[in-house]
Amino acid sequence: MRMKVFKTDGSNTSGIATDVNTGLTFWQPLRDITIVDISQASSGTVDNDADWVIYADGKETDYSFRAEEINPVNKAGRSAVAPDGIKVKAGTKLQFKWSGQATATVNYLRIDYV
Amino acid sequence: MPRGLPAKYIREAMKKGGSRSEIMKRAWRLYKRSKGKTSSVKRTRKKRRGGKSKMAKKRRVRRPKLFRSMGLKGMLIAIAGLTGIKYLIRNYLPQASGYENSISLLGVGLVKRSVLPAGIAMLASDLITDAITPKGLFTLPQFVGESPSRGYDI
Repeated sequence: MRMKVFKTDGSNTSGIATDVNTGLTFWQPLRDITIVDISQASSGTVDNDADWVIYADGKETDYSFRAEEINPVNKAGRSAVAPDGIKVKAGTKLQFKWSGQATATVNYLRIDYV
Repeated sequence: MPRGLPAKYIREAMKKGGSRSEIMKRAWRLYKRSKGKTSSVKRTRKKRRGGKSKMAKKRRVRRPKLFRSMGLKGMLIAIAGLTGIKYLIRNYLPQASGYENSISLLGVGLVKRSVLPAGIAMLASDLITDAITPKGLFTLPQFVGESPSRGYDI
């Protein structure tokens, strides 16, 4: 299983997250992937934890996640995208948009995929 | 002399004497006996001149034998070929895995024509199934909305 981490910028309460490794605001996998879990550890203040929406090729998808449901403490080992995961076609431009922070805080969105 | 009846049977039959028709009957009996088991199905054919029909020559019954149609070598080649096709589908076109059987059968049908109709029928049924149900290789838009999923969520 592999992992990607996107982060909020810490200066805005909404926006498009940045890949911590590439610095890009998108992720375009070269092969078919399946996202098997999405999680975000709390920043310490629940109100400042971000809610997320996945965009594909610039379009909003059905996949949105509230901070509470992707918090590892609340998930207790369960996947937020169980049981089938999210199958993503190779070449799809994925973006992760956040919102819902009371105060701009750096949040990290972890994406586990195979 | 009836056409096709070897002379040696007639000579054998003539040793016991009798009328011409008796000799010919005896000769035919000897001939049939020498050819072993024959089919019980009677076939008739018409003579060229006149409409009178007569008994056609009986055909020998052919029993099916193992590997008769392809041979052991052909079977091994078929196994290798089918494995190759399945490998390619599984690795490079997983959404088409539902087509494995029909494509394989079509491949065999190119060599052995008798299975070709079955292969075509299976492929057609796979295509129809794929067209009207989501998450396959393709799906007709009217069944899933504007964008076919092709097995992907995104």
